[in-house]
Amino acid sequence: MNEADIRTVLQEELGNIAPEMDLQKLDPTADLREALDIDSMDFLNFVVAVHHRLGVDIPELDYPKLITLARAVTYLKGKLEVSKS
Amino acid sequence: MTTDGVIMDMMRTKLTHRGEWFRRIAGANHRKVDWRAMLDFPGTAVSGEARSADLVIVGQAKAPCEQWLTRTNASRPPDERLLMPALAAKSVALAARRFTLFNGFYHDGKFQAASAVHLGIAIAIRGGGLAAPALHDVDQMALDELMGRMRDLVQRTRAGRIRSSEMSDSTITLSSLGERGVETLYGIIYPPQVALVGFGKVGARPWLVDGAVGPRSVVTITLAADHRVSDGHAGALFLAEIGKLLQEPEKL
Repeated sequence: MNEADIRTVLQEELGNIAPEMDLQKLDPTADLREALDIDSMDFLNFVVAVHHRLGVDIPELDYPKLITLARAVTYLKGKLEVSKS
Repeated sequence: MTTDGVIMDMMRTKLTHRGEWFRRIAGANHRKVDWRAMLDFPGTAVSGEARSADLVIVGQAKAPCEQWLTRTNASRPPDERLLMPALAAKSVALAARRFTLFNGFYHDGKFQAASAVHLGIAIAIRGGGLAAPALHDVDQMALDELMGRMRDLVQRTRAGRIRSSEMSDSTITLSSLGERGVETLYGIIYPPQVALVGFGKVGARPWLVDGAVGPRSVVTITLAADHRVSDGHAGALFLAEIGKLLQEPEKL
């Protein structure tokens, strides 16, 4: 799975939480909580969905690494590479 | 006592008997006299955001609640993790079962206490508006189940996929999900209910600890209640009970 695939998964799952937002136009460096108006309950739902879709473990301590789309892609790519090797 | 945990003697209870006429609520024909009580409660502060490393202030005391959630969630997969609103809901429901003047309905000039605790959860709908669908028998629900139900309810409500049957029969309402909002939340009762408990935004504030001011996570818990049914003294006790329950999350 490359970065573009991961980004697509993230955009789909964010779209389930914030269906009215145009995620194609989302600034990849924006704080997702601010940009999409999501709270901790929404964010947990997002983490649950990503965990199921990608099969990677996302400990709570790593939540800050998912706080922007760009950082989330980088973080999850690293996770997927580790789990492959 | 000044541990990181219960700081009951430092609890500040502010009671304001305003006797003010509340603004008319849609669907309610009668005007209501409310009073509010407010409880600034140190050491209970937790939320998903507050526990994110980028928001934690160095040297900030970790509340027992916060430590417990972190410990509990560390070994759990995401869909079994708990968040502060679940602890808030359970503690409010348990307190409401004991303090019956805040759990029920005011109809035709008299109060009828409810026999069960059906907790309305106030949730902001995306794009505007607020809904408060009910979860039944929250006082008897295990924390894990309650968390799962709340997560589902928030997701469906915010996306506008709530069933109308879920919108009725709450006996008391909790507003706790505005965590990026205000420090102090003044909720408005949903008639014919007689009370609404609000949890404000969790944040670090200067607090007196052992005679010196230090940083503490603090959440302000507010109560709006119907003065025809209860008074400020009962409200203060009700809030104190919620605060006490939050200090022992493992028992919730």
